[in-house]
Amino acid sequence: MGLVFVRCEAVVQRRGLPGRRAVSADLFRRGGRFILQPRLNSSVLGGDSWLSIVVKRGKTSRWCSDADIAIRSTTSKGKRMAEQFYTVASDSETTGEDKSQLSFPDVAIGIDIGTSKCSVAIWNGHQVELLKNTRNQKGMRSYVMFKDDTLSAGVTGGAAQESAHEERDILSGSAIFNMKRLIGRMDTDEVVQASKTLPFLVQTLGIGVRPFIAALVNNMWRSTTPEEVLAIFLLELKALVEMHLKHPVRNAVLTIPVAFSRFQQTRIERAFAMAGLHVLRLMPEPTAVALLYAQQQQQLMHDNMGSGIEKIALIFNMGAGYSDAAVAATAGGVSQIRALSGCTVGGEDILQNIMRHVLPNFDSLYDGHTVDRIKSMGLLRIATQDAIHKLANQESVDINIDLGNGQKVSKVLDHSEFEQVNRAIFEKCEKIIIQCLVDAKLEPEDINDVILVGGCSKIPRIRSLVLGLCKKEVSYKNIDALEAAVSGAAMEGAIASGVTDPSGSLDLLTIQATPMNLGIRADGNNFAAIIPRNTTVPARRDMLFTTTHDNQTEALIAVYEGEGEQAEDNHLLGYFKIAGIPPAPKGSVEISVCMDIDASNVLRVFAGVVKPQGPAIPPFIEVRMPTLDDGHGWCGQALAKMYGKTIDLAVLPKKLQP
Amino acid sequence: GSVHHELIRPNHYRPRNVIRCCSTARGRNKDYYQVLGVTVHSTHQEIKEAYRKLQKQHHPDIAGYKGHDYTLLLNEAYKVLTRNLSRHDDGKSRAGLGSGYPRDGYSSWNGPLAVES
Repeated sequence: MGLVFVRCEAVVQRRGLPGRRAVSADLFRRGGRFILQPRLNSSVLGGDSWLSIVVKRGKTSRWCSDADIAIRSTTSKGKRMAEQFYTVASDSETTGEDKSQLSFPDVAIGIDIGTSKCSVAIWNGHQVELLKNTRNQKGMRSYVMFKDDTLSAGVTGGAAQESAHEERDILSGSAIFNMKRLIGRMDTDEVVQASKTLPFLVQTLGIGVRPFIAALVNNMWRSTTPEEVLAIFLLELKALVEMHLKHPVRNAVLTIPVAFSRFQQTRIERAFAMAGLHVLRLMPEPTAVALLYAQQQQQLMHDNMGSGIEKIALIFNMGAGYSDAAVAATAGGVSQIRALSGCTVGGEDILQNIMRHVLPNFDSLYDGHTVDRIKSMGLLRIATQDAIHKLANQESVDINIDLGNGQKVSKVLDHSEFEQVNRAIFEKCEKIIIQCLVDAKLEPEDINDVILVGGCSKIPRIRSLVLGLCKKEVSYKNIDALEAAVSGAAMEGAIASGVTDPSGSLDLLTIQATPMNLGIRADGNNFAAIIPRNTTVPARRDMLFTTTHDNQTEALIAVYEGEGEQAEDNHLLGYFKIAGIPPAPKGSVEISVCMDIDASNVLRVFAGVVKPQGPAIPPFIEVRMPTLDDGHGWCGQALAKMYGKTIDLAVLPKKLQP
Repeated sequence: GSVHHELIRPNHYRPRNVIRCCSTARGRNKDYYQVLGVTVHSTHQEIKEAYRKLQKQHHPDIAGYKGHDYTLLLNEAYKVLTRNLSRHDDGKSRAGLGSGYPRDGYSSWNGPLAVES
């Protein structure tokens, strides 16, 4: 038959399943194709969608892409099924059509999409390397410019066209930015409401659907979505990386804010899929910084400069859109996340506060979004931004700007005024740090290092606030405030892609924790948390529930995520019904709801009747969450209107449990 | 209705799985000390080191999906054994701690592990 075959070990990874598996297999070559024939129990290979395959033989290992290899399925007894083999294909969402070579090293890249700036880093075989665009920038402005029929994103900054974009162009209404704040949010969200002051159009109806977003093209509003904008941006970013690496890129590790809901995570994954990228891991930003810190501590130990004992770091990250805090304990290259907390305040809120402060009728300025007003807003925004930057290094700053339309702003802003205007923001930052310390059960004295990252970490008040809470004089010095998160992501990308480094600099592990409570609606409108926040991942917890009516045959499992005590204060992730409950007096049936989060952060919910038992009991239900796509605002209300309390659940009190 | 049953059937093996997971969470008298390879005399520091060492072998990032269940067990054991120990107990022997001792499934007697049976 002309088949060549070698015995090899294949390490495969499958979409939807975390981690990698090693299987012993034979590699055939037929024509131009390779066929992977697993040797033993191949249930592991009987799948439909594959991410990556490494074929190891002797000391050499090669990364293969789906395009090169077909997997021949075997039955569980090891017999070959006649000529039936599964072609390895990407998940339908990851549409990367690569004509890749068998030998290209498919190591996941690290991406940090900031509200304001974005950066990308790769593992170059020895260390992490941040890539620069043609304008020699490592931090590239996050926006997409809509002009006539051409689209261009902040990666090239319009350098490919005749003229490079200036800040004034970005604020002309033709560019969409702040995607990270808008993605996956409903029009009832206060962050979306606050975004209505941006130069491009954000329209809301306030009923819990997606906001309408549009850019000004030839004096017309052209509608788009945050996912689309992000995907266009990512395409440019991907091209930049591929130009540098000279081979296609498929996988990425992305840093996200702690406050990102699971629904927002799915939207961001969707945007990546639209750009042909697969998100291998989503890393909360401070945990990526913690990984970099863990590596540095490990390095110190190797150089015999560190003692090798456990070090505890508090990481505070404040960017343009989000603030995060984390406590990580590090020893022997293992970074264990003890607590995480985050909120949606950032530099954008500071900017808006100052704009409102210097121009009292600011809110009437953006009404209508006429070209003149957009221009005035842009001028004010640039001047205010500039003033805030200057204020980091000087006592006071003058803001003098002519907005046109006869409006002028002339103001002197000093530190105390700046701090007064933004008091609510600093209080929120304080709150998440204190919550983090309490959740980690630590006193300020237990913290070895305070790491400050993100653009806003340069603000003097933020620095003094964080250091004060941790009772420290100075912050940790060896970490770059703007490059740390993306470097950590690139490192995780290399680790999760199975790269090992002979010098041991990738001998690291992050033990993640869940940032938010996960639970279901029970006892009326209450939220029963099944996996509490800061539970170590992988996590699996269950809880028993019971019926609230006699002879109740159906029960609604509505899954929520968040910190609120009422279910409605939290994010609805999805819902399903358990039907066929045997008729019994209320409170006597036991329904188990189990939640499982794996290492790649996939949430599965299992639910079913556990008492009474017997053949008449319907099978358990397994649901991968979130299932909701849209309409978070009215889904819960519609359910309540339709069913009232007829299919409610109650938490089974501990004393009644076996 | 029948359509739904068709969809659910492939997961028929799940209920047993889940029930098993219920019973572990109910604190079945599992030898958590054995899971982490420590003894009742081990200090908090020793428990932590043992936990991290095992994580580096079994965490799904390193061992693949087969490490999932074992890591769950490690996490559960570590949580129970360190529940009532604050960081300040580092280096101290458990014997002198009295009320700080975790009582989940074990008495405070420092004798052999099979004390309950």
